[in-house]
Order: sequence, then C-alpha cells, then structure tokens
Amino acid sequence: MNAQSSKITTESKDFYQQLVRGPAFLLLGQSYLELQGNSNQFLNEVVRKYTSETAPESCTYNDILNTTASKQPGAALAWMQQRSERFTTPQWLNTVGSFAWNGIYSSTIDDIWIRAFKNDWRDIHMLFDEKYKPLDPRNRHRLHCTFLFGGIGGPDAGEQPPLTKMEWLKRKQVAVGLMRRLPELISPLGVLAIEGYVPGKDWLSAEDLAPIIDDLADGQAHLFSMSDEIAQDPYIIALRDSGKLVLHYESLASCLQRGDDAGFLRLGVRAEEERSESIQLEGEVVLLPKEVKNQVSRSAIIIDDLAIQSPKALSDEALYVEFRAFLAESSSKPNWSGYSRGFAFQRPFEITLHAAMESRLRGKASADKPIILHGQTGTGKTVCLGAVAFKIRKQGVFPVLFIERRSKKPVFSDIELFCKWIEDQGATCTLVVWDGMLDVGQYDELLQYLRSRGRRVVVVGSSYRVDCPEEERGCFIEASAKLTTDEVSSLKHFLKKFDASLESLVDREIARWGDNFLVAMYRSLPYTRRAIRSGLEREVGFTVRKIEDKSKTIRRRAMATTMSHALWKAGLIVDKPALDISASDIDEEVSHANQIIRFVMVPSQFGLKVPLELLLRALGQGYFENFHHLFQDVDLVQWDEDNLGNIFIRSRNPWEARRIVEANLGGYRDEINCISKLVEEIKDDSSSLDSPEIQFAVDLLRSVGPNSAVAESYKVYLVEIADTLLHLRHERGISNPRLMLQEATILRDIVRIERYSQTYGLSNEDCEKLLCRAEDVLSDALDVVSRSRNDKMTSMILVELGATKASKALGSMSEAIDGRDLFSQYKQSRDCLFRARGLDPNNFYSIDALCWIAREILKSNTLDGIEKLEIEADVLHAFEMAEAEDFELLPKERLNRRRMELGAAMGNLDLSDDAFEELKKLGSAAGFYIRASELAGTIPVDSELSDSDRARCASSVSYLENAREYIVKDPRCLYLMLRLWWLSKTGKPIFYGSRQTTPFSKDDWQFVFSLLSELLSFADVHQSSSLKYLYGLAQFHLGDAIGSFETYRELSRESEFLQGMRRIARRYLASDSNGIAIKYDGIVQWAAQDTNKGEIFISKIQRRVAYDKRDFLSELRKGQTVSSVHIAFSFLGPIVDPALRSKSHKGEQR
Amino acid sequence: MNEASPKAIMYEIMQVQEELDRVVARLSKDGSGVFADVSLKKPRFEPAELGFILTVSWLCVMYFEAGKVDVLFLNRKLEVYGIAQDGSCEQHYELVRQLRTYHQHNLDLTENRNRQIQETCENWLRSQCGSPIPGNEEQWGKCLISILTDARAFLNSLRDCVRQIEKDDSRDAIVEEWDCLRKRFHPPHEFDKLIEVVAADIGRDKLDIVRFRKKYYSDWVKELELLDGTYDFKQEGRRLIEHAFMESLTPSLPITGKDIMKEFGLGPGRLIGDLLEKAKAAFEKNGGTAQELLELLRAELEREVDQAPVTT
Repeated sequence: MNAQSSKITTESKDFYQQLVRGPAFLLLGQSYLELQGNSNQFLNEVVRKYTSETAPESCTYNDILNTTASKQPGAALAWMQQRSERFTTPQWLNTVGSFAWNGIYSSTIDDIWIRAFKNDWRDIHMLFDEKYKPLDPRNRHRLHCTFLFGGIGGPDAGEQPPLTKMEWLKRKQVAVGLMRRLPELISPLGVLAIEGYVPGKDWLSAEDLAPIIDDLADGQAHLFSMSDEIAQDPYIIALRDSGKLVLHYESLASCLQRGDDAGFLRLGVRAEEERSESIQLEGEVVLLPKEVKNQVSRSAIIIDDLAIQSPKALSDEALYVEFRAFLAESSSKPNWSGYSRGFAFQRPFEITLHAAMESRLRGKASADKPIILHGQTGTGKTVCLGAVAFKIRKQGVFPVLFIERRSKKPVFSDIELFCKWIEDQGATCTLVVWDGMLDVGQYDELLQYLRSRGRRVVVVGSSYRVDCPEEERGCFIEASAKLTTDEVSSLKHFLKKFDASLESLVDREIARWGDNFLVAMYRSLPYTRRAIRSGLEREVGFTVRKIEDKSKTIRRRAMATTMSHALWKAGLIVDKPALDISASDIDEEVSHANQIIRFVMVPSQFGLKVPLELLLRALGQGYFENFHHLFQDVDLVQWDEDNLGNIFIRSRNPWEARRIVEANLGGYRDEINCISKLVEEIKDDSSSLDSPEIQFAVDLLRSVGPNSAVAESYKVYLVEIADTLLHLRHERGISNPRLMLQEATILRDIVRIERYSQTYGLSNEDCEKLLCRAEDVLSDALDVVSRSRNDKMTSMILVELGATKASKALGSMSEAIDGRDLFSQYKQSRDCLFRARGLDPNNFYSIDALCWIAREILKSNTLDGIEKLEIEADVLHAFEMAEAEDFELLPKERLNRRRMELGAAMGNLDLSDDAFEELKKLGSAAGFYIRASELAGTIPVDSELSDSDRARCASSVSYLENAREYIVKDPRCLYLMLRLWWLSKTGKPIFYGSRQTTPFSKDDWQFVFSLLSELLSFADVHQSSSLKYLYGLAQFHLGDAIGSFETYRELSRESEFLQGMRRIARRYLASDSNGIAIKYDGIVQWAAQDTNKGEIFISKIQRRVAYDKRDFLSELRKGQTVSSVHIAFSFLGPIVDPALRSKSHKGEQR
Repeated sequence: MNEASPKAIMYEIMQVQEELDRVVARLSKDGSGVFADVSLKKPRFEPAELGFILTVSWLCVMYFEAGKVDVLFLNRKLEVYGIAQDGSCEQHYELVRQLRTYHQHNLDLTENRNRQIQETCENWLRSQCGSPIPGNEEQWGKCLISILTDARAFLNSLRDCVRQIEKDDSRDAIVEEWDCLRKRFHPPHEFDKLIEVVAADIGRDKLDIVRFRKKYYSDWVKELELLDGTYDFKQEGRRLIEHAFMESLTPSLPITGKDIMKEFGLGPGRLIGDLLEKAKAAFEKNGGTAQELLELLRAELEREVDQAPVTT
C-alpha cells in the first residue's frame, strides 16, 4: 500500500458522491485490527488464554471455537470484554469513524471498534440479534452498530458470540438474516463500504456476502484494502466483473482522508452539515448539549449560530446557481445560507409578520394565540417564514426553532425540552416557526401545550387561505398572491443583483408568472448565467422526456444479477431497457418513468413527500438498479433525508407538481389510482402510531378527503378510497388506528354526502351498511389503541364513533323509527361523546358532535317532549362543564353558533308541570336540572358575580338541596349544584383568576368533598381533571394532606394533555375560613443543581412541598429557613408560593 | 487551599516524570522512556502571570511534543484501569492545549471553535481566582498553583497507569501495541534527515529543509497514520517527500474553472473539476496557451457527447 497516489480515481469520486448522498453503511470485517499492526492483538490474546498455546502467526476466529472458553462462557466473555477494553482503537479507524455513517455492520465480536464511532453528537446503539428491529435504522445521530455474530458485550446468550462449532453454525443463520436487511436500508441511492474483510478468514463467508451485494445496484458496494489474496476469491471476482463491487487497493481511511483533503466530503463534522452547537443569547454563547440537540432535531431545526454565520464566498456563476436553487428549494425547506446571501425577495406581508413577531417576543405577557401566515400556494409564505426566522435569530436575542413541512408531526415534548433548556440558559422567550400548512388548531394545540408547561413562546404557523374570526384578526396575516406595481419595480432591482439582464426578464415574463411568481420565476431563469442571454427555457415536459430517455439506457433488474450479467456477456440474453414503456402495473399506456413521476407528483401537489421504501414497493419491481440515475441531471424530483435517516422523494415544489399532474394524468380518476396504489403498499411495522409511512398515508387521505380544500374534485372517489383502506386491513392485516379512523370518517362522509346530494346512488340500506361498517372499524380501532393506552387517540376514535352512531340514528328517523329506539341510539352516541371528552378535555369536537345530533333530533317530531327535555339537559350540561372549566380555550365563536342553532331547535320546548312530573316519575332528574338552571338564570362565566347573581345561585342551590334524594344519581344536577354553590359562596366562577382564596368553613369543605366524591364515582366526562383538582383541594383543607398530595400526583400525570396556562396556573391558595391565605414556615430540603426545582419541608403539614427557584428573589440554600410562605395549587400539584407574590395579586382576599 | 509553593509542586512533578521514564524504559522494547529531552527551560514562577504562561507552555511541550505518543497512549488507558474516572485527566490534558492557544494566539472570535476555547479557558480561570481575566499577583498566583497541582495529579495518574500495565496479564500484548504506536510516530527531525537525503539525490541541496518540512509535515503524518503496520518509513516517507517536490514544480494553469464555466456555459459542479484535471494533465505534458487548452477541452466534451448512449 502506498502512502500517496497523486490522482483521485473516478471510482473514488463516485464513492464520495454516494457517501455524501447516503445512506452510507459500513461493513467491518474480522481482520480490521490487522490493518494497524499486522496482527490482531485481541484475537491473539484470546487464543493464547483459551488454547494454552501461543497464538499462531495467522490465527482466525475459528481458533476460539470449541476451546476451554466454551466450558465457562460467562467468565470467558467477561475476560474477553476486559481485554477488549485494554486495546486502543486503531488510528485509521478513528478517521473512518469521523464520518457520519448511517449504520455499521460488523462480523467481529470485540467492541474495540465501537469507540471510534462514539463522539459528542452521536449516540451508539449496539444491535446483537435479529429480534430487534430499530425504528430508525438509518439514524446518523443514533448510530446502529450491528454485531452479525453477537458481541462479547451482548447481554443475553442469544446476543453473545458463538464459542462452539454448533453455536457458530446456528449464529451464521442469524448473521445472514441481519445482512439481508442491508439492501433495503441502503436503498438504490446509498453505498456500502467494506473494510477489514478477508473472505477466507472471516466468519462472514464470501458465499453469504455475495448475494447481498448482488442485490445492490452496480457500483454501490466498495471493498477496500484489497490484497492479492482477496483478489483470488471467485465470488469477489464475479462481483467485480458484474460491476457490482468496486475494488480499492487503498484503505478506506486513506480514501476518506483524501476525499476530505480534496473537498469532496467532510470528516469530523456532525451529520447535517457542519452543525454548530452554540446559540448566542444577548451576547452570551450557550452550548447545546448533545442530548437536547439530538432529541429536538427529531422534530425541529434549531437555528444555531452556524445557520446565521456569513456564508462561504462564491464566484458570480456559483452565486447565480445558488440563487436559482434557492428559488426552487426554499418553498419546501429553509436554506439559511440563501437568506444570509440576501436571496429572499421581501414582500410587504413579511414586514407585517416581522413586526407582529417582534412585538410578541418583546411583550411582557405570554401570547395566547399563534400568529398565522395564510394564503394560497406559491405566494412566498415559506420563504417569508424562513426569512423572518433568520432575521430574528440573527439579532442574537431570541432562540428560534423552525419546523419544516414534513410527514411526521413534531413531538411536542421535544419542542418543550428545547424551550425549557434555553429558558434555563436565560432566554426570555422562544420563537417557534412551524411551516406546516396545517389547520390552525394544530398550531394552537402546540402553543397551549407549551404554555401549559410554563414555556414562554411565540408560535407562528402557515396555512392555506382562511377566513379568520373577527376577534382574532390580529393573529392572521395574509400573504397576497398579486404583486403590486411597487413590488414589480423592487423585484427588477432585486434581480439585477444577480445579473443585469434579468431586469428585462421581469418585463418579458411577468404576465405569464401569474400568482405563483417565485416558482414561475425559477422556471424562467436559465440554468447558467451565460444562458440568460441566449434566452434558453426549460419545460416540465423536458424533464419527463429526459427521465424516459435515461430509463431506456438502464438495464432491467433481471439483468442486474451476476448470473444474468454473465449470460448477457455471453450473448445468450438480450439487453432490454429497465423501464419498459409498454408494461406497467397501473395502466398499460403509462411508461414506468411516468409512473415514478405520478407516484411522486400526485402526493407532492399537496406538499407531501413520499417515503422512498413505499415508492419502491409501489413501483412493484423491487429495488431496480440505477434508480438514482433516473434523477441525475433532473432536478424536478428531489430527495431528502430526515434526522432519523428516513429518505423521502418529492417534487421541488407543490406548484410544479400540480402542473405536472395536470399535464400527465388523465384526471382525478388517475390520481385516485395512484393514491390507492400507494396506500395499498403501506407497511406498519412500527410500534408507534405514526411511522413515516402511516403519517404519509394519513396526510394523503386528508389531502383529498371531504375536509380538504379540493374535496369537491375527489368526492366521487371516496368509496374507492374507503375500499382501499378495507383492503389494507383485510388483505394486508394492517390495523393502524389512525388509518382506521380515516376509513370510518370517509364512510360517514360518504353517507353524509349521499343524504345531501345523492352523489353515489346509494339506498338507505346501503348507507346503513356503510355506517355499520364504520362502527365495526372504530370498535376494532378501540381494541387496538387500548393496548397502547393513548387517551388522545381513544378520544378521537370515540368522537367519531359517537358521530357515526348519531348518523345512524338520524338515518333511521326517515324510516318512522320508534321514539324509544331513537332515544336509545342517541344515548349510545352521547355516552361515546362524554367518554371522549373525559379522556381528552381539549377535544371540543365531542361537544360539537353532541350539539349536532341534538339539533337534528330536536328538529324532528320523532321524540316526545320528555325525551327532548332529557336531550336539552344533556346539552346544557355539556356547555356548562366546558364553560366552567375551559373558558380560556373555548372556541367561543363556534360554540356560540352551536348554542344559537340549538336554541332555535329547542325554541318550542317547555317544561310544563306535567312534563316535570312525568320526568320525575320516570326517575329522570332532567326536570330538576332544567328548573334549577332556569332559577339561576344567565350567570357570567368570565367575570365576578353581582349580588343578585349570587342570590339567584343560592336559591337554585337551595332548590336542588331540597330535591337531593331525586338528584343523587344524576351527575348533571350534582355538578350544577357544586358550581352554583361555589358561585354563591365566592362570587367568582371556579378557576377564575389565580391565587384565589376560599372563605370555606370545615363544613363547607365537607359539603364540597361529598359532592365531588359522588361526582367522581360517575364515569366518563365526570372523571375530569378539574373535578380531581377540586377534590385534592378539599382533601387538603380537610386536613388530609397525604391524600391530597396523592390526588395531585395522579392528577399531574393525567393532566399531561391539558392545554394553555391552565396546567401550571396557581389557581387557589391554602386559606382559612375567612378567606385569608395561610402562612407557613419551612426549611429548604433540596435544591436541584441544574434546574429551577427544589423542595421545602413545611412543618405545619409535615410534608415536603415543591418550589420554583425563580419565584424567590434570592437563591435558597439547603437548610435555609423560609417563613410566611403560602401553599398554592396547580394541576401539577401543591407548590410553595412566596407571600409577596400572593399579596400583589389583586385576586387575593383578605 | 493548597499551601505548597509552585517550586515545591514542580519538584514533585519532576520526580514523577523521572519515575515514569524509568519504569517505561524497562517495559518497552527499545528502552526509551516517556519524555524526550525538552530544550525549553523550566519555567520561572515570578511574577505569577509570567510563571503561569511559561508553565502552560512548558506543560504543552511536555505533553504534546516530548511525550506525545506515550502521554496520549497512557491517557487513553486511564479509563481502562479505572484511574481518574471523573475525567479530570482528560480535562487537564485538553485545558493545557487550550490555555496555550488562548494566551499565545490572536483568536478570531467569529469562529465557533475559538469562542469555545475562550469560554473554556475563562471559565477555568474564573473558577480558580474569581475572575475570567486575572488582574493581580494574587489571582495569577492562584491560577499558577492550580495548573501545577493539576499537572502533578495528571502525571501521578499516568504513573499509576504504567504500574497497572506492569502487572497486567496481557502486558506483552499491550506493550507490543504501545511499541507499534511509537514506531508509527515520526517526529519532525526524522523527516528532516530524510528530506536531506532526497534533496541531495535529486540535486536540490540548497533547499531550506525546515521550511519545506513545515509546509507538508502535518499532511505527511496524516498519510502515514492511515497506512498498515508493515510500512517502511524510509520508503513511504521518501515517496511523500518526492511527491511534494514534484508538486512544488508544477506551474499554475493558464485557465481557471471560471474560464471553463464561461466558455462552455456550464454551472459549477464536479464536471468543472474533472475538466480542470484534464487540462492540467495536458498542460504538464505539452504546455499550451489558455485558448489551446480550452479547445482541447471542447474536443473532449464533444467526444463525450458522441459516446453518450443513444436515447431515441
């Protein structure tokens, strides 16, 4: 091996290109230690120890089989592990380890090599057995290192290396099984580098390795440190001759080092570019811990100091190409260096957005609504969001997270982790920019989640054009589609920066650009500056033709095997193009090239990226070789790798995708065929509900579903979509609750559309069948989800189930159904909806659905007055609970509309004395509930009560008290009594303001306690966290501190999904019967070093109570005495509250 | 508070250093100790500021030049034998390097790495004397005592490590690994001798050997580190040196990548690099003007287009 070869070969250049593109896998053979010092010190020591002989010159791992080591395998492996630690990692391996690999496979059993891959940005995960299949097998930040033959550090027998010949034979099967994963992981895009592998000596035989390499495309596998001995192996020769394996005589380390020196790749930098790990905050630099970085990166881009650094210098030509790439790419994902270079053309709404963000970030109060940038596709929303995020971060004052549009929803706890960490470092507020193009509710959900954990954030989201509610107009900023005259003038000036001739291009082309000017402008710009003058223009059709042309030059997969290649060379078979124009799974007239375009462009028009594996399965030809060549030189189709190593294929931008779909597909029917084909190929091998493929399928279905912006175009195909999902469950056995929920929703929507517009020609019986099918699907989904205890998902399924049952009930009304049957069906639906709300108090859809069914039933004459009164009581109760507990978060406008609709439907209802007696006779307390509500009249829900309000409440309570024997089994009445009693006693709604005190005597608390005990004994909605909060408060004031703390401990776990400030707000203080906050003394027992947490022992209650360091002016030390503090209660539990803070609060009573 | 004087601590350091050298000389095959001779004078300690800066420099030379391979080797073995598991040795080793950079270089603070060095050093100084920028004799004195105390602890750990290797069941294998590492380390003077020989062989006896070596040394070391253990330094070193000589003779091309992009209307990318390489090969062989080289590249491009697969 020479120290230097002056020229980098074409093979090496190709290798670098493959490495950088990824996925990049390394196979490390058992001879790797010999590359450093010509002998394997570790193996020699093991052989010396267990064979009582000096290790022979060229011993192999076979020499450790059937030795004395197998007599006491536990002790032997422990000894080997200790030896393994004694030896230093070879220097060359450190160079290899400094590359950001997607995964390592090794036939060796020691773990000396593992150390070379450990670094400060990458976690190592060792995999010893087939049983475990990681969810993120290509994650560069969590590097999976697979020990093909087990490892000496393997915890169980099946994960340890073989020590006898028989064990070795068995393990060989496992090793092959593990190796079989490689082709799928590498995909047609990636590369396999092999180092330290000598066929005759390695436990992984060339016979076993050859078929794996043969399944890859030409030139995807590279064998390094070739020697004359290796070159004699017949399998290696065959693989080399077929073009499958590229042989390199130099070592992998030298090759990588040379690539690094020559600028083809970067060693020693973290996976996604040279990521910086620092964030500047008000002049201070804080370093991002690896754990925070890696976890948060799953869900969002942390805009760190590297992103805002000055970009590298470029020539004018390269600058122009970068600008063009920016125009094409930045509508999909942020290109920070482009912002830094001033590539983003500023539109007027950017100024408005920037000002709104600044004002909120610098404001004292925490914003309770997200800012939404909305507008049609192609108006520059993504560019604008990126630009503003960049500018705010550049100031170095506020930390910024950017969530790009992706198939996987961000994990909220990841975002919270970052916000909390950066707040602990001194940040006053974090900007979270989520360019999700989602329903506004999703941004609100994130904001409330973060606020509920005490985070100070400003959330900015993007959405298609929406009609914003009047009272929230300030939160919505519209991205206008039209360029004003001033903007056109600015645009000319802007383009001149890149080439003087571009000014005239604006005049020439602007009429054709229309509303999607950014994307259209990109299409108008020639590839190079030189071509600007020659006026060249690219067309979409050009790209498709180019792919087709290329496809004809690529060999089919059948030709890709070593055997077929040999036959081809011998002239026994004839070469054929890979993508046969005449054959296609979808449509005989559609070429395979067009098929790829379709499978990518149909989802891409909705801004979705297709998971690579799914695309390849949908194409139906397995991994045909040279896949990536199809896209070389064709920039219409792009691929991305996310932080977990998942690869996605997408169009450059949705606008182009739409144009291509329109030009290439015959209409919506063809699109639905594509969608069905993709959905049918979904795999669900993950334990989580939202694997990338499932998320993609759900997004795709939503994009064409009844609630999408393009619902009208696709509605006639809903039956087919539902059948595809049925097929997926029955034929493929994929029972994913999220897909099942989609299926049921679509089925219910078909019935809804049919009843409204007779689109599908279905009979009532057909509709009934569809709804029964939906019910079955949902019941199955509940079974599946019950295994994972996902309350949020269960709640969503229950709402859909309630709505489906309601739909059935409403359908039966047209068939002269008996009133009792209808009422029974209504009750089933109501129970589902109440249960849903109990599980997820933020799910307002349950109230929506209840209002809808109530309204429809009340409008009909099927039910008698008594039953209608029951329904009225139910609905009033649902509103009452929502308003009493969640007023801040209520979608007020929507619920008010529902209330008005219901009012109209209930208008003729009258609770006569006869009706009241009839209800009472039937054992229903609905009459008492309605009468008590009427007595109380309209009570304010968001302000203090007047004396007359309080008097009415008291009289209503007295009425209910007198009827206690009738209402004791009715949670509606009990809840009403509790609420009205509280209002009359305190003059304020429950959970009104913060740090409230309660002027309750022991008897009062006993009364509250008994009412709550009764309420909590009911299931469903009455198991709410709000009632549990009050229960814990009552326990505390009744002297049961232990019980109270236990209640709050349980509550803090259950209230995980509570949104807004409600979760952390300190609503009540421990107080005496006069309503005066009780003062406590205590001693600091514990103060955390890294966080703001601590505990104070309060002697009066003999309990440790949590405190937050930030509440106190000076730092509390362990053992320090604190006096005259209060105890406050939030949904997270009791917390020490400095008296000063409580006094200053206007809500405190004295 | 450590009450020992800098001189007393330094004396202890010298003693440990001596012990290390003696034990390692018995273990190793070639009989050499850990630390080579150091030309840098032992630091004087007054005033304390100067003492601190000189001590950091001296320690840096000891760890990274005189004891380079052995200190690195032993430092990596500490964890194996459960010595200084709190990471203090690793921290000290890195801190010495960073303190020297911090005190003797002009740091460009726009660079992330430099900012990190500054922060690490100033945090350490603050923790020792209460200020990130020591300003008086007392503050510098505290820092000086601390760095010496840490150095003593570091060398004690290395000594304990060597004693553990002495007793180890796999001592021979470990020493063999150690020797292998030593063999692969080639200090600058080894290259200087080889350069002298090569320069004489090719008639370049006027060469400024040190300047030439400084220009290429780190690249050569990197190259040799990646070779397998069987390489012959004289042969591979000579190959590297001769290659560097040849490279220094190559005149620069009359065309640039920008010319190629402009001439053929190409955008930046790998093709430009490939064409430049072709132009270089042709220029080294036959010379030529810029126009001639561009014509040659044009012909090359046309030939490639002709050979491309037919796509009907």
